[in-house]
Amino acid sequence: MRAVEAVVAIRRPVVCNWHMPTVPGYHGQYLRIDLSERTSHQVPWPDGVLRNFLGGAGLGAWVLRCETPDGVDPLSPESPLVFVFSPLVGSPLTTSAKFAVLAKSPLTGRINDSLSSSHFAISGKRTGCDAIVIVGAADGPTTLVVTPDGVRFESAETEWGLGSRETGQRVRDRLGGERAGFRVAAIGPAGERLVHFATISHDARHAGRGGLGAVMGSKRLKAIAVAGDRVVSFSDPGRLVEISRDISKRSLGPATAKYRELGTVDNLVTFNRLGSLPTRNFQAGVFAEASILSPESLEADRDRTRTSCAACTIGCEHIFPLAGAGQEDAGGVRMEYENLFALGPLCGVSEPRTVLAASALCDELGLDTISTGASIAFAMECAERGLVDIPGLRFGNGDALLAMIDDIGNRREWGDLLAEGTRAAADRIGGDSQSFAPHVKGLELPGYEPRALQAMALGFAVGTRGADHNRSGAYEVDFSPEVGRVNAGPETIGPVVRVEDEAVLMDSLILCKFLRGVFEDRVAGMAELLRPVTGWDVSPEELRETAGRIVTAKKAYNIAQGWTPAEDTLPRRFFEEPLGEGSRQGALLDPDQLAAQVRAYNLFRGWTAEGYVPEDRLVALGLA
Amino acid sequence: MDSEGASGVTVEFFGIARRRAGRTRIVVCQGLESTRLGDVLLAAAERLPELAGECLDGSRPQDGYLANVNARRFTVDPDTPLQAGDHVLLLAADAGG
Repeated sequence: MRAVEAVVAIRRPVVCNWHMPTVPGYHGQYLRIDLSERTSHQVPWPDGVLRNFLGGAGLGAWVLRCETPDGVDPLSPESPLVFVFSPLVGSPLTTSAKFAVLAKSPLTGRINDSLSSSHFAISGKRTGCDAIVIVGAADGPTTLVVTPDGVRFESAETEWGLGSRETGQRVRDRLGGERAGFRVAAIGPAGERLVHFATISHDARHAGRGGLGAVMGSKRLKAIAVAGDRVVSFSDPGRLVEISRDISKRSLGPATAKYRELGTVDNLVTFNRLGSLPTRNFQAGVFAEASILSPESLEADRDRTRTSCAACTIGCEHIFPLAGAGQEDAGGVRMEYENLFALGPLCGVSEPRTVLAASALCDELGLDTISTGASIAFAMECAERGLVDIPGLRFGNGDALLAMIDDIGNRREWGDLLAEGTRAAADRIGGDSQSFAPHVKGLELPGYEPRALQAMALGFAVGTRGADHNRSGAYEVDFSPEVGRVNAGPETIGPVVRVEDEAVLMDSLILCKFLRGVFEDRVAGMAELLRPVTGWDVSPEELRETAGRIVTAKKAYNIAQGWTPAEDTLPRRFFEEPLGEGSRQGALLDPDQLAAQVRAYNLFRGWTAEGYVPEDRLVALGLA
Repeated sequence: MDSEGASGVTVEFFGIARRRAGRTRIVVCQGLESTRLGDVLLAAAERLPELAGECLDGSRPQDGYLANVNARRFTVDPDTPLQAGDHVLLLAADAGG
C-alpha cells in the first residue's frame, strides 16, 4: 500500500453551504465518510434538528439513530462511528473545546456517547462541519485526513501497532508539523485488537468508555487528522464575550478549587470515609489503605504538575511523575479519581507507583481504566473463589495487575477473555460469577458504591449507556441534604431526573461538568449562554424539554437495538451481600424498591412503566 | 492533633477544607453533652481561622460545601442537633469525578 494516497472520490456537496446562512454557532451540515467506498459528502441538517438536539451527545444521538441499522453488529462495517462538535466550540466560553464520539457499543450493544476535551474539537469544527459520520471499513490500516478541501484516505500501515500518542505525533509530523495545525485522534493497540473497552485518544486525553476505540479499529481506522480555517459566526459576540468573562472569573473561584488544587483524586479519601469507595470488586465500601493513595501520599516523593484541557480555565489535570524524586525521568501520568479507584482499591492495590504505572499502561494501550480495573478485579475474585486458575492474580498483587493489563491490551491468554468485558467473561466462566460481575448493560460500574449511594444505584440502573456517573450525576443527590442516600423513597425520582437532564444538556452544549458549581441555576445559566451563540430565544423550560427529548432519543435507540426492561437493574451482589465495615455497614439494595423506583422514573419520563416509549411521546418530542 | 477519643465533637476535614485547616481533624465543644452544628462550625473557625470565608460562612458551610454527621446524614442546617462523640465531616459539595 502506498504511504500516502491521493485525494480520492470526494463527493462534493451540491452546495458548499458554509457560505449559506445557517444558525449561528453551526456550519449547518455534517460530513459523511464511507471508508469502504472511499467517498465523502456533506449532509445538511434537517430543519429543527439543531435546536432540538443542540450538539455533542444530543445531536450525536439524533444522527446515530438515523444512521444505525436495527440490530447491527457494533463491529461491522455498517455500524456508524460519529464525532460531534457543538455550538460552543470555537467560542470564548471556558471548557467548551469538547467533542462527543458515539457508536453502538461493542461492550453493551447499546448507545454509547463518550466525551473528551482537546484541540481536536476546535480543529475538527474548523473543517467546516458540525459532525463527522464514518461508515464502512477500510481494506487496510487507514488515516483519515479531513480539511475544508475534502477527505484524504492515507495508509496507516506504518502506525499500526503503535500507541496512540506516538501515532498522533507521527501523523502530525507527516502532515506538516505544528505549523500545519492538524490535531489527531487515534487508537492504540487495544483498539486495533477490538478490545471491547478500547479508547479513542488525542492529546493524551481519551474518549474512554464503551469501546469506541474498538469500533474505530473494526474499520481499520487508526487515526483521524483534522485541520481547517472555517469559523462560525455568533449571534451576539459582545454579549458572548461578556458572559464568557463572567463564567471564566467564576470558574477560578471556590466552586472549582477542589479540582484545581487537588484534582478528583481527592475523592478517594472522602468516599472511603463515607463507606462508598468500591473495594476488591465491590466486596467492600472501605479500603483500609486508602490514605496511602491520598493526594498527599501520591505527591509525597514526587512533584506533580497541573495542566488543563484546551480552552479551560479550571485546570483539573494533575500529572504525577512515574518515577520518584531523584530518579530518572520516566514521564508522567494524568490521575483522576476513576483510574485511581479502579486500578487501586478495586483491585486491592495500594502501592502508588503500581497504580500510576497501571494507569500509564492503560493510556499507552488505549484502554478504559474503569472497565480495565473492573475486569481484572472481577477476575481476581473469580480466582480467589476457584472459578478460574490464573496464577498470581489475587487482590493486592500489583505485578499481576500490570501483567494482566498488558494481556488484555494485547488479547493474550486470560486477557483475551477479559477484553470482552465482565458480562461476557462471566457468561464464559459460569458458576455464580454473573452475580458479582460489576456491570449494568455490560458497562462496568464507576467508583460509586451503589449500596451506599442509592440514588446513584437508580441512575446506574436506568442509564442508557449502562452504569455511568457522567450521564447520570445522581451521586449529587446522594451527596446532598435533599434525600437520604440509603432507603430513600419516591422523593428520589425528581432529583435523579433533574441531574440527568442537567448532565445531558452539558453533554450536548458541550460544557465541562466541573463548571456545575458556578451556575446558580444550571439550566437557566445554560440557556443564557446559548442565546448569544445561536440567537435562539431559548428558555430554561425549552432546555428542560430538550433534555427530555435527548434522553428519550437515546432510549428509543436502545429499544430499536433490542433493549429489554430486565436490563435496568444491578448485579445480584448488591441485593444479597450487605456492606461490611464502614459508615454504611449493613447497607443493601432492596430489589423491589429499586424496581419500583425504575418504574417511577420511567413514568416520570413519559414512558410506560416498563420503560418503552409510547408513540404519542415520540410524536410530542419530534422523535417519531 | 486532638485525640479522637476526647469528649466533644470531632470535625473531620476533607479536600480543600483539609488543605486550609492544615490538619485532618479537630475536636471542639468539649465538655458539652449536646450542641448544634452551627456552634461546632463556629468553634472550628475560631480555632482555625483559615476555614472562615472560603469553607465556612459563620455557622454554616460556605456555598459549595457540606457537612455530614457521622458519615451518614448530609446537612447545611446550623440547627442540626449534635451530641458529644459525634463526628462532623466538612467537605466539598461537588463530589464528582
